[in-house]
Amino acid sequence: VPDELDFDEFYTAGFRRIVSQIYAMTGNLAEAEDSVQEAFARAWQRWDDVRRYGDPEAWIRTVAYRLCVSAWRKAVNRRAAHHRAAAAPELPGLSPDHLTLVSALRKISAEQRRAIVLYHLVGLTIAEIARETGSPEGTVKSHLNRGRKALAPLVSEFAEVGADGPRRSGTDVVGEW
Amino acid sequence: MPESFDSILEELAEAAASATVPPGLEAVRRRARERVVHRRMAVSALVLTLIGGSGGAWAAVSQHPRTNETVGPMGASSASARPNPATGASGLTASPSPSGAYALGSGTDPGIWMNGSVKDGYLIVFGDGVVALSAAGSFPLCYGRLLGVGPDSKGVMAGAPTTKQSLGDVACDDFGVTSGLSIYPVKNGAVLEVSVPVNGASAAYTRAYAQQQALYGGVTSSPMMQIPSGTWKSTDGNNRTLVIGADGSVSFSASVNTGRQYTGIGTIDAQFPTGARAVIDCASGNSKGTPCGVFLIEQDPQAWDGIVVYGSYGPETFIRTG
Repeated sequence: VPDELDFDEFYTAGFRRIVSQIYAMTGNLAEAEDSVQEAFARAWQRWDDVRRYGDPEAWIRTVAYRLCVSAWRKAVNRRAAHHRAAAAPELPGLSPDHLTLVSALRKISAEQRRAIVLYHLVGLTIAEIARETGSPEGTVKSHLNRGRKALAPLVSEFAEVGADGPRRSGTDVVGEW
Repeated sequence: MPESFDSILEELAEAAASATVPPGLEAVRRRARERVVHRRMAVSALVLTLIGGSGGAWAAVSQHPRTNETVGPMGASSASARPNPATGASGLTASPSPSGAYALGSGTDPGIWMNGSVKDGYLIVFGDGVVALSAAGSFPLCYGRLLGVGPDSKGVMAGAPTTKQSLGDVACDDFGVTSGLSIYPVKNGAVLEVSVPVNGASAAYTRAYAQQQALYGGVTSSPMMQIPSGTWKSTDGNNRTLVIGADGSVSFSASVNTGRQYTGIGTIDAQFPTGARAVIDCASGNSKGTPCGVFLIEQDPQAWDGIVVYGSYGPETFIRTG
């Protein structure tokens, strides 16, 4: 029973947040919802193990992301996702700024987008992103730098600061780049 | 955009969160239960396929186009140092059907462990008791086999031995010995230690490998639904090439240690939900025809047409060139 309570709280607290993060990485809300639900289902199956991980939410996010980008899964679910998306518009009422951002994010690679979302939205450090993505820190920095360069023409903030990127408040790891 | 990138990204994410209606907890649990049922159905279909070669059972599992060439798993001869796929329920692996086609296996995914951050520090424990280890200057992982683990043994659970086990059939130049190595769990299974015996002037030593959570059990890897046939090239600039045939044949060429070129050939001898294992005979660097290593090959979840090859330098991304 305690395990189920733990899982319930974890699920309730984290589902929307992780969906929003996966959506920012992939640009497909229906796919994000489905993959996060699948990730939680897998977590429930092995909750005894997952709950002992240092950061179960990172585990869910990683599983959901990988499910989302799986070519096979995309092929299988494309039709269902299309119907879901058609039935319910993804994000109604987006402002021009939001639309610009969505358009800009679509122009960079998946790896760059994932790194940028983990850094700017989730708030992870370079080292944490490296652990979560299974990439060397240098690769993460490269994805961030290249992503920002690609976004610079569309995001004035990046154009102003160039390849070094804007400095975040709090823990400042941008200087490591 | 007038607002900061961070804040507008956060607003976008909040909009997505607001538009999301979390399914009920029971829906998640039901989905988990359905996953178990589907996996069991896939296993049953696979078993039927393996036993009878029936085409009808293929509907439940992924399948590769059939060929007329039969490429069997590595021989089961005890004289061979090649890994022998387990056949018990705890380590079911896919085998070619009588016509030579491969099916997705349902065997336990391998556990992946790492010794610090050094390049030569990878260890993979397969469900059938094969233990692959990094070796300096080698591209494939060298390997041994847990002596105490038989096809029906419970000695390997979730990619790790549960008790101290000796390694036999060691094809691993790096250790200088072919017997006497052992592997055992410590720190409640979070760490595996490999004990290497005295070898001439070299004293005995142990090497510790920590569990890699992001990869452990393959749970975060994408499913690999078929043999990734084609020509694949590493993206690290080290000119490693892997050629995988639709029949499960594998060959590689690699440039290591200041340009020394070596090659090898082998076959995929076991498959797992998220990948496949290839056992390799090296053509140079070792005597030709001598078993020298294994690769673990998985689909790259971050690349549309890429694979991840676990060799002695750990996971490396390869992209298709042909």
